[in-house]
Amino acid sequence: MILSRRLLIAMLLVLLGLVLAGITFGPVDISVHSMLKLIAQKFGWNAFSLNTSATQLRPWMENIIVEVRMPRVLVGALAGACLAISGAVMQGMFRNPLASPSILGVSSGASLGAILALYLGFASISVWILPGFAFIGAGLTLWLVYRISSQRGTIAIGTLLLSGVAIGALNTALSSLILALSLNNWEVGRMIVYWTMGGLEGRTWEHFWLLLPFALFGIGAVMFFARSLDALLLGETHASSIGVDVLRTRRYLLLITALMVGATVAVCGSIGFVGLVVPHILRLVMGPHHRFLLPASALGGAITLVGADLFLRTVFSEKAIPLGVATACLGAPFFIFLLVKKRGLIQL
Amino acid sequence: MSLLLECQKLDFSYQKKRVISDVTLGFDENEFVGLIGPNGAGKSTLLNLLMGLHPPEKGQAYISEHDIAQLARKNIARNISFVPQDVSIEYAFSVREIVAMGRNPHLGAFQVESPSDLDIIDRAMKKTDILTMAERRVDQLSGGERQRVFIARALAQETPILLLDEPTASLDLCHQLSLLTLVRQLCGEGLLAIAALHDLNLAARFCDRLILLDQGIVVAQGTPIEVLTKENLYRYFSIEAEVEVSALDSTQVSIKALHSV
Repeated sequence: MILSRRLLIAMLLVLLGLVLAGITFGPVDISVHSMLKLIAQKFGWNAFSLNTSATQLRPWMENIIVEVRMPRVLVGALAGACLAISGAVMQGMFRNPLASPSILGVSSGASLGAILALYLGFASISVWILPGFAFIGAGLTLWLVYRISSQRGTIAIGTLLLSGVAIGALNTALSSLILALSLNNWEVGRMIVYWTMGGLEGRTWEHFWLLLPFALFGIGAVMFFARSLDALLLGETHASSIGVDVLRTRRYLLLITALMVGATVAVCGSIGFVGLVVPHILRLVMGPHHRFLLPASALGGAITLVGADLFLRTVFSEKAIPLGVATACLGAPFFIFLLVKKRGLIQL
Repeated sequence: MSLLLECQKLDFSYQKKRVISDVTLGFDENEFVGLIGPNGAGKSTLLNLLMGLHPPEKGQAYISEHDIAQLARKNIARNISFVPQDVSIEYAFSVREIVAMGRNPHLGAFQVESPSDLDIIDRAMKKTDILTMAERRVDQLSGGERQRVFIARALAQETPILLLDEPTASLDLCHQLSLLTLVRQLCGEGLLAIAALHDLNLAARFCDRLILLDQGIVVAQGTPIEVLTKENLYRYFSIEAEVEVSALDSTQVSIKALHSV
C-alpha cells in the first residue's frame, strides 16, 4: 500500500513534468526561462523579474504558450485520464482485462453520435450538442453491448467482446455512410473528416472547459465505487453477499463511463487503446485494488497522451501524425499480445 | 417473538422450470440447520432466495420480520453472510484483502478500516487457521485453502446469520471436521447457520435440524433421526442404506449406503 501511494506520487510528478515540457517544447523555440517567467507572472509572483535582462518575454510568446500549447496539453491530460480510468472501470465491472472503451465499441458509438450531430448541422447550435450526441452514442452502444451479453446478472465474456466488436463495426459503418452522404456538401464533409482525425491539434480553452466538468465528475464518481469494483472482480454472488447492489452499481458505472468517453471523443475524436493498455499494465504493477488502480489509471492515461503528443510534436514535428494513429499503433499489438498470452502461446 | 430468518410460500422458477415450490420455513438463533437433498433439489437456490439474491416469483423472505425484498443490499449483508461454492479467483488479491472485504457492509464508500475492523479481520483468520498465509496471493491457493479464506471473510462480516453452500465440498477430512466444529461452536454463541450439505453423515453429526428438499419441495424436516430414515433415503436419494443410531448418544445417527437403486 505504501508502495502504491509512492507510485501515485511519482506518477503525479512525472505528469507535472510532462505538462511543463509539453508547454515549453514545440516548433517555435521558447526558452524554459521565458516560460517559467510567464507562469510566475500569471500567478502574480515577481521573483523572476530580478533577472529580466537575459530574456525578453514577448507578447507572441505568451500567445503561443497560453492560447496554443496550454489548452492542447491540458486537454490531452484530461482526455487520457478519462479514457484510462473508464478502461479500468470497464475491466473491473466486466471482470475482463480486454474490456476498454475502444474494444467495446463505446468510442466508435461516441464518434457516430458526434458525426451525426455535425451532419445534421446541430453542432453549430450550441457547444453542448456535440458532446451530448457523443454521449448518447457512447451510452447506447454500452447499453446494447451490456444487454446482449448479460443474462440473469452474469456476463458471458465471449459474447461481451464479440458484441462490442460487432456493434463497433456497425458504428463505424454508419459513420462512413454519413461521411459518404455528406461528401457532396464540401463544408460539412470537411468538418467531419477534420473532426474524425481527432487528436489534440488546435484544441482551445473552450475544449478544456468543456471536458473539465466531465473529467472531474467522472473521476470522483468512479472513486466512490472503488470498493464495489474490488468486490465485483470476485463475481456477482460474492459482491452481493458483501452488500454490493450489483445491478445498480453496473448501471451507474455504465452511465459515468459513457459520459466520460462521450465527452472525450467529442473534444478530441477517438483515441484508441489508451483505455485498454494503461489500466492493464498498472494492474500488473500495483495489483487489482481500485482505490489505487483508478487514480493511477487516470494519471497513467494523462501521462501517456501528454507524453505521446509531446513525442509526436518534437520527434515527428514535420509529419503531423494524428495522436489516435500513434496510440493505435502502440495499442493494437499490445491487445494481440494479451490475446495470445491468454491462449498460452507465449509463456512469460 | 419474531424469528431471525423466515420465508413464506416461496416459489421460484429457472428457465420455466419450477425449482422451488411453496417453501415455508422459520429459523432462529443458536441453530445449525442442514439443507440436504439429491442433486438439483434446489438447495443452492433456496439459499440464494433466503439472502434475497434473486427476487422470488411468489412469497417473501424476512429477516427479523423485515421483508428482504425491501432491504438495501448493504443492510442484508450486515445480517447475512454467505460462503459460496468454490470460487475461482484470477486476481492477485492477498488472503488478508479478501477477508477484509467482509467489512465492506460496515464501511462507507471512502472509509478505510479502523483498528477494530483490522482486529475483527485478524480474529476471523485465526478462527479459520489461515493467519499464517495472510499475505499469500489468493489466486495461488488450493481449493481447500481458498474455501477457508471465504469462510473467514464471512466471519469478518460479523452477521447473526451465516449461509454456506456446500462448504465442505473441496476440503480434506481434517478441515471438513474443523470447519463444521467451528460453525457448531459459533451456533452455541448465538449464530444461526444454514448449510447446504452433500455428506449426510456430516450433516447428521453436526446439525441440530435437517431440511430435506426434493424437486424444490420440503419433503421432511426435523432432527437427523427423524429425517434420515431408511424410507427417506430410499425414496429421495435412491439408495439402500442402513441407519445406525449411536449406542452412546441416541441423537446421533450414521448412514451406511449399501447400493444405489
